[in-house]
Amino acid sequence: MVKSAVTTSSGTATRRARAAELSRDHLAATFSRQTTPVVAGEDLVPLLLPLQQALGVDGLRRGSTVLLAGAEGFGATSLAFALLAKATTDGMWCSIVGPPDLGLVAAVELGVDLERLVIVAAPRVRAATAIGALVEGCDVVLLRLPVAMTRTEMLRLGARARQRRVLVVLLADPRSRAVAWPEAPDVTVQIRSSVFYGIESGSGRITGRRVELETIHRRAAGSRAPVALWLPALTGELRLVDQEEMDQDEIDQRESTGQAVGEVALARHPEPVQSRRAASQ
Amino acid sequence: MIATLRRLDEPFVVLESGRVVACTAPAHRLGVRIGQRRKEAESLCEGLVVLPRDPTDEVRTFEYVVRALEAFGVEVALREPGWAGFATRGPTRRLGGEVALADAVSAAVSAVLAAPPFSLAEAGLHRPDALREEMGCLVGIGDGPFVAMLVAQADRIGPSAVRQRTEEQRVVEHGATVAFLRAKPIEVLHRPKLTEVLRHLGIVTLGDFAALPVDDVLARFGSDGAHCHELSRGEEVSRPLGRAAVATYAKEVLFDPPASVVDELTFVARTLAEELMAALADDGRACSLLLCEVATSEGERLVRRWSHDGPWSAPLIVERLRWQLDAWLSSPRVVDEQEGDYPRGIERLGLVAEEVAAATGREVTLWGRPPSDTERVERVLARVQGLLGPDAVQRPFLVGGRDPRERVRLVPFGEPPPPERRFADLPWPGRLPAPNPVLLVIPPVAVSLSTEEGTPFFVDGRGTTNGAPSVVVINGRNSEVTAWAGPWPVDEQWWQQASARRRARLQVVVATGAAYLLAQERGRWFLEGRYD
Repeated sequence: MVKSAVTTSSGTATRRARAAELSRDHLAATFSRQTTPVVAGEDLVPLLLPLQQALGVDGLRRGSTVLLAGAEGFGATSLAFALLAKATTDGMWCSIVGPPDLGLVAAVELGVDLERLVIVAAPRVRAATAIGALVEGCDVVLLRLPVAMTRTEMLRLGARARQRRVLVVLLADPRSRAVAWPEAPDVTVQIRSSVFYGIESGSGRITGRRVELETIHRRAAGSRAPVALWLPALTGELRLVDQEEMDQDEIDQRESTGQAVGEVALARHPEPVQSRRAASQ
Repeated sequence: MIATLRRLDEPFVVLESGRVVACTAPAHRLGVRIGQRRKEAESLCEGLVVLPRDPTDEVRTFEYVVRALEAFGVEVALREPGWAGFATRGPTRRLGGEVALADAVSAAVSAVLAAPPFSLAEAGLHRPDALREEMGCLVGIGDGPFVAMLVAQADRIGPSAVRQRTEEQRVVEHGATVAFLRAKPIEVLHRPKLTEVLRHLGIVTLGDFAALPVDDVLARFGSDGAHCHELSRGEEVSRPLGRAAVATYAKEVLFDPPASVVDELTFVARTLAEELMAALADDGRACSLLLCEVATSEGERLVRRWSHDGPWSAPLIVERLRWQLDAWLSSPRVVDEQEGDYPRGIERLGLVAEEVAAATGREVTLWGRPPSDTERVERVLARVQGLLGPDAVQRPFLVGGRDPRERVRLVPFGEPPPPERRFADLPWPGRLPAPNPVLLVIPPVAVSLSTEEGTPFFVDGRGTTNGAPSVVVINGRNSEVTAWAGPWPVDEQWWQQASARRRARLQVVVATGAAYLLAQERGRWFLEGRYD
């Protein structure tokens, strides 16, 4: 049984009002003259070197939006973890918003530091407020689409993230063809194909996976050629596929009976938004 | 951690979030420095032993040092395990001078460190050419906490100098503060953005900064910059004004019967901390010193003060309380003739906000450092927890296990990490090897596997299969299996009927390119993970 005894000073309404007034005046006096110096160089979220090479950037600009898309099982979630890896080991706080079905052991294997990771269950109510609050504190926010927000709320979130210089990574829902985000993202990474290695008919086990990525930058003219990436390689790390490995593949394919395992190219880019409340707006 | 070390002449490092925060002298000599990454440290020193940081243990062992300091008859305020400070007016008068006080403090702390549980004397560290850090005690006396901290950090002898302690280095006289601060680099203010701007302007020392006009600094850098300017001038206000005139903010809780389990105490303490913070906030005040007091069932009264950069928040209070209660409840008794090892019971737990002052726009700091990134994130996550519920914001920890699902424990933010963390690196035969599935199916979904003939695919008790799987039906969708591997039997806890589990794992790749992790348990197939 717990008894609680409380001693506190008696706060009257006028005293509180005066305290609030004093704080407000002081705040007004201080912040009207304050300017925060902007430090350049902290502008990029760092990436692992193989990803830098695959995406063609030194890092992802803070405040930008990145969309990862691919068919089911093509490796979009693995790619998302790989994107967060260097950021977490460099001390940036990353939060992942989505259903509670992430295999975080795989995240550790892809290089993520769990110390800097926060998992937030996908909110069904007050999503905009909660994710908005996350944007205030975290350096990277990974949203597994769809999120329960209206189009205006998503636009406002995007603007707020840009202002707070928070990187927003969107993981497209493989089951829907349209991307549930109103603005065009700054970088789109499309996984066009995925092949698992190491597994035969009844022997071996999955040890590596090769994906083909296509990166589209909103501001760049044209798109870059697709890049082949090991995600992860047979030895466990991430790296680009070597030229000789690609040549060997061509030879293998010509020699085989034409049985390619799991190569399906994604034929179209994601279409613009389909909001849940399109009818009412 | 110090109490568990046996030999301090082995290279140890303590890591926090991947970076070194402390190392022993042998490691230091090989080039390991604070702030390095784990890989860098391991490459410099072979056979380096790495330990994770454990704040509870640190508080518990630092208690010995704090008790030694309290013997001087002062109120000691802890900032974090390893840093403690107190006002020196009383002891100075008694001991006849600040230099004598510095000596006495150093001797007292060294005596504590030489005795069990530290036993540094045994490790042979009292060598004539030892670095001062090896002795484990840096002392500094100055006008205010900022100056005292700088003096303490400067209190070290290089390896080439003789071990002749220059007492004058430990004390900065009242009049000598300005001269002492003048040559210090502006990095000691620990404000990276401010420092960068000042460097661009050509201001590299505190003396240069202090020479700027106050009003201009306030206009350009705001109240935080003005505070730093105050520190550089040596005009630090060591105690916020209005201390005596303000009514006390105190909350306490009585336990009947006395509580001795730390978790129970911290659970109640959480509400207490929130009430205290709410009471302070209602009146527009903030405190910079928190007093925790505890009355045990044996009649002892234990008191500890904690100071903190920036405002106190309820989760922060609960965290400090947890460390402190753990330290008190598990430390050996000071006055006890009996041999009994029964835990102390706590009858009364009280929190008192000391050094309360009006909450201005700038956070009131005692040691002059701005709140760190972690605290900002803690505040934000606590807010999200308030919106969505405490279980909605979780942190992952690797624990021991064989399944990808049981290898990671999600703990609500703010709660301590699970003790099973230490099992994470142990060998677990039967563990699913890398790469693990990126998406798990919780709870596992029933699927059906059939062979080419149309019969159900089955793995028997010996691990043999009845053919090759050809079609898998997941959520009503048929997919053709193009590659498969396994089965791998997993037999867990076979010695206990209640928790015994036998499964056979299988990996399949289907025609669409997706790969799945399936498991057969009691004759039925389940989807456990997806390789996305």
